[in-house]
Amino acid sequence: MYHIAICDDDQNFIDKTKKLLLSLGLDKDKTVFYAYHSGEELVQSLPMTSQIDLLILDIVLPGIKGDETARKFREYFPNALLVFCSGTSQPTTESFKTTPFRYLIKHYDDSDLKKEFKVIIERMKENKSEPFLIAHWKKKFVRLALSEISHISILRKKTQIHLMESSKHRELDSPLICEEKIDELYDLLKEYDFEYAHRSYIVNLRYIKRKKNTELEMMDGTLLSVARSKEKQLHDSWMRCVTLKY
Amino acid sequence: MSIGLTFVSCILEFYIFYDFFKAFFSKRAFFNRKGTVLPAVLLFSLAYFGVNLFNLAGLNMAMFPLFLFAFASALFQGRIRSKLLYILFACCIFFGCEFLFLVILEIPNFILGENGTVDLSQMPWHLFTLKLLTYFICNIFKQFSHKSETRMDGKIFICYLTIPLASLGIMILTYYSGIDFRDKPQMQTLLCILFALMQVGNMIIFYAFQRYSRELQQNMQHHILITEQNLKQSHYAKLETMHAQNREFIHNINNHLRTIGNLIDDGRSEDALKIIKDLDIELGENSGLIYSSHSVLNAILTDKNEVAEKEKIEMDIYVEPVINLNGISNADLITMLGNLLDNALEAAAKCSENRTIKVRIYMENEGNIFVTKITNTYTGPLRLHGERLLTTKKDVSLHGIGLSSVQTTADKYDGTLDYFTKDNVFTALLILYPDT
Repeated sequence: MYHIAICDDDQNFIDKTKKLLLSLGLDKDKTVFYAYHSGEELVQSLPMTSQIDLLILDIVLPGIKGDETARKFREYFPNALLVFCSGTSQPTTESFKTTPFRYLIKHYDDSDLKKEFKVIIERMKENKSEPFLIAHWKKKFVRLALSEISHISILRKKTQIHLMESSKHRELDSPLICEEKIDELYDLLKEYDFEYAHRSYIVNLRYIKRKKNTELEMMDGTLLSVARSKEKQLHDSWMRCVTLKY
Repeated sequence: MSIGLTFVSCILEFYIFYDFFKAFFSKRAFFNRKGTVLPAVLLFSLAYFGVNLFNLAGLNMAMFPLFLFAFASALFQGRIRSKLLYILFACCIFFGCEFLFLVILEIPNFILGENGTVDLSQMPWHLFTLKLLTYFICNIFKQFSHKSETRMDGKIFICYLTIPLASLGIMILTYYSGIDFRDKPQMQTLLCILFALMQVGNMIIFYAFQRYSRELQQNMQHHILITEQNLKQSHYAKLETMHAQNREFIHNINNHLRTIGNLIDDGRSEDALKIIKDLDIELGENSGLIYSSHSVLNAILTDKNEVAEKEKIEMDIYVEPVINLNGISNADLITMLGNLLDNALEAAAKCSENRTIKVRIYMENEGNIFVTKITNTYTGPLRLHGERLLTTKKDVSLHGIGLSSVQTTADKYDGTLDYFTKDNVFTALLILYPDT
């Protein structure tokens, strides 16, 4: 089941978007749409909403603006796909933090919109099929989304998961341990933009802030050195990762 | 004691050379780390010391530049050609000082061994004085330092090469020609003065070379600045045109709306729809002039799109509305995007059919990474040198135009430029890290 939220003060745009999305292969019976007409309405509903896979959000909204709405939305749904749309208004650099996948212009003609929505639906489906990692924390199991993980390192014969600052599990104080060995995790995660930077750790390529040949700076400020033997493989995967968006 | 002194002499020579080179070339990233340079200096000194142990003057002299080249290649970035020239100057200083010293001390009289080498154990303090003199002269050369990517074409390179090369040859030949100055103090004094003058002459040539390359670079920067200003001007002119069109559109829209209202009132909805359709077309024509709110980026894209239109190349451009280019200078942006787009245009123009270029400019990883992805069709084989693509333009070094200058400019921002080809589609991917 796909859960799609559209937040726009223009009901015509909401209806048009729903129609367009359904025309692009989404099964009507397996898709739930939620319509919101203001940022407040969406924000208020967030605590009661269990799942959203895609949010199409107007940047110019009455009351709370799109950027702020997106920030609040991300607190609840860090893994959902976010698409900004607007008539003429420009989003600000603040929007980077909410990691929008696309910025759509409302007056795109239908063929352009269809092209964009096709890619958006594909990415939403990919996101939905991403696996979760099960880690141990003080004899408890923790289910981690890949988007919460910055990198994974070897810890004796097991692995330790290092989380992003934005992860909702960040406050867990002792290490999160995974039973799998690093090569087993790599086999599982390599198609989800994880790559070896060193034989003792794999990194989430989406969270690299700066990449040099010999060093990686992750978004949380962690510096990781790159083994010479892994340089090329890492570079190739990194290239593939950044070219995926368009 | 002699062996120990020879080793110390080797270490000093490599250290002085390192210090000299550091003023003109950027170190490789690895050697910016603490504690990496000294082991490298020691390693090369040890290897050269090994050569010294053969006690053959000719071998020492032949191997010294080779060791310097290996040392410079290992530790420093930069073009091989530039490195060679600087090594030659360094050799001139090193050998020049030694010869000068030997002549002043009348060393041929009492120290020069049968094999042409000097037994250092007999002159430890002289050795340190000699190295001090070398260090001193190197420091004078360093005053002309202008750490930059020196650019020069082949002819100029050879012109600058002749004088240090001739100086070095004369010094070596004079010394090894077996002329004995013992009984000719005037000749000896004259030789000292001439050797010293030769060193000064080399310094002047070195200064001239530095000055020339700096001015060449300044010229290039001026050229880029003028291009930048032209682009900005063209951007503002286009904005003005668009605003004028918009003003006209807004002015006309009232009339159109009134007419549409009247037509609907009269039940002539088909005519009303026709006007709406026309308006839609008009709106479509008005859009598309502005790719990005970043004026220089927009100007580059608009400019290149015009070229594409003239060449009948289909150019599909999309720039995400929020772009962060903080810390990346406009001149560098023009160099990088301008060259990449020129290359794409040049390649696509050679195709007899399916001449297309697709440009995507966007931010990745929460706005930390600026990505430019340019794909274009091409025909014929690509000229590749290793993993580098060779440009087909002539005189690349002087114009500073070409893919290598994109790479050099991207390097300034720790960025990367990569190429891929698949099914006659060439993709250039430029990644930069703007300030956040």
